[in-house]
Amino acid sequence: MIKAKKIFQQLPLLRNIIINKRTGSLFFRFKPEGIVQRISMTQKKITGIDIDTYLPQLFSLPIYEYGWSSKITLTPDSYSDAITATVCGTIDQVQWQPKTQLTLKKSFSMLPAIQVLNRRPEIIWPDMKAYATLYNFAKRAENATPANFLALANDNDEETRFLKVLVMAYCLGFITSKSSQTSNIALRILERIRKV
Amino acid sequence: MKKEIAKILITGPFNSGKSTLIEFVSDEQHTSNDVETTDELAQFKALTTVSLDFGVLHVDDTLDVHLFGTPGQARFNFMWQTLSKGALGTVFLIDSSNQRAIDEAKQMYQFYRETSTMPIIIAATKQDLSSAQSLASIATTLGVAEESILSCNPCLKDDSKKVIIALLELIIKEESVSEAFF
Repeated sequence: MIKAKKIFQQLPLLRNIIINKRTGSLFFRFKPEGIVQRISMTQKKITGIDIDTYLPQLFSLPIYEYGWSSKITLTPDSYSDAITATVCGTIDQVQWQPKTQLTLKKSFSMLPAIQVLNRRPEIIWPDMKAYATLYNFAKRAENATPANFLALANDNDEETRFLKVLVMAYCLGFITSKSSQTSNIALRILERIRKV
Repeated sequence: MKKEIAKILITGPFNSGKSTLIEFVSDEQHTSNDVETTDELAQFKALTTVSLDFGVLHVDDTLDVHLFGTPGQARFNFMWQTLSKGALGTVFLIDSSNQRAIDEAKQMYQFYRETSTMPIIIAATKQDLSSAQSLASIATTLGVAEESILSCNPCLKDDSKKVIIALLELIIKEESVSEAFF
C-alpha cells in the first residue's frame, strides 16, 4: 500500500527545483489510482494543472506519489519569474485547515536555526511586516529556529501569517540553515587538522 | 578580506589534559594562566588553569579556529556557558584515573546537556594508568553509551588530532540530519 506523503516530504523537492531553476516536470497524483498530473517548471503552465492549483491542493490533500522528471527540456532562459511569483501569490492566498496548519507548524518546528538571505525579497509579498519580523528575528535571535519564530505570534491569525511567510521563504530559497555553513566550516577544519 | 573565526571548546575536570591537547592541535598557543593549586586539589596537581587556555589553528586565508580551554572546575561552568555561544562543538576530557575528577565530570556534563544542544565528544585520558576506570564504567557514570567515549592520550599528537577529528565528524553528522530539508 502506498502511503500518503506528508507535506514536508514534498516541500524540499519544490524548493530544490525552484532555487536551482531546474527545468522539467513536477508530477504527482492524489490517489493511488488517480491520474498523474504534471506541472512544467519552465513556465507557469504547459500541460496538466497550474501551479496555483497544485499548491492549494498540496496544503489540503495527502499526495500519494510525487516526483520530478527532467525529460522535458526547455532552455533555462525560459524559466519564468512567473513560477516564483505564482508560488508567492498562491501561498499568500491559500486557506488551509487547522489540521494542515498544525502539520506545517510541527514540520517547520523541526528545522534548525535559520538565516534569512534577503533583507527584502525580490518578489511582491503582501505581508512585508511578517517578512521583516522574520528577517530581524533571524538576524538577532541567539537561537533563530522556526519554532522560536512561530512562538512570537500573539494569536492564531498572526501564527498563520508567520507560517505563511516561513513557507514562502522556504520554498523560494530566501531562508537557509545556519548549519549549512557550520558543516562547510567543519569540513574545512577537518581537512586542515589532518595535516597538522 | 575579513577572516571567519570558528570556535571549539576544550573542557573537562582538572588535570584531564586540556592544555596539552590545545598545544598539539594549534599553530599558536597563548600562555595559560596557570597558578599554584591552592585548594584540596593541590594533592593532585601543582598548577591549574584559572583563566583560559587559548590556541589558534590557521585553516586558510579566510578561516581561523580558536580553541578555548575552560577552567577545570565545575564552579567555572558559567565560563563554558559564556564561551559556548557560537561555538561549533566541545571536546570534553576526563581523567580516567581519578574518581573525584569523574564525579566532577558527571556534574559538568549534566550541566552542559541541560544548557546546550551543541555536539560534544567525550574523551577519557590516562587510560594507560592502572588506576584508570574503564570506558564502560565512565560511560555509566555519565549516562552515555560506551561507544560515545574515546580513549585519548593528549601527550600524543595523533591522539589529540583523533579527538578533534571525531568532534568535527560528529558536527557534520548532526548537521546533515537537518540539512536534508535545505
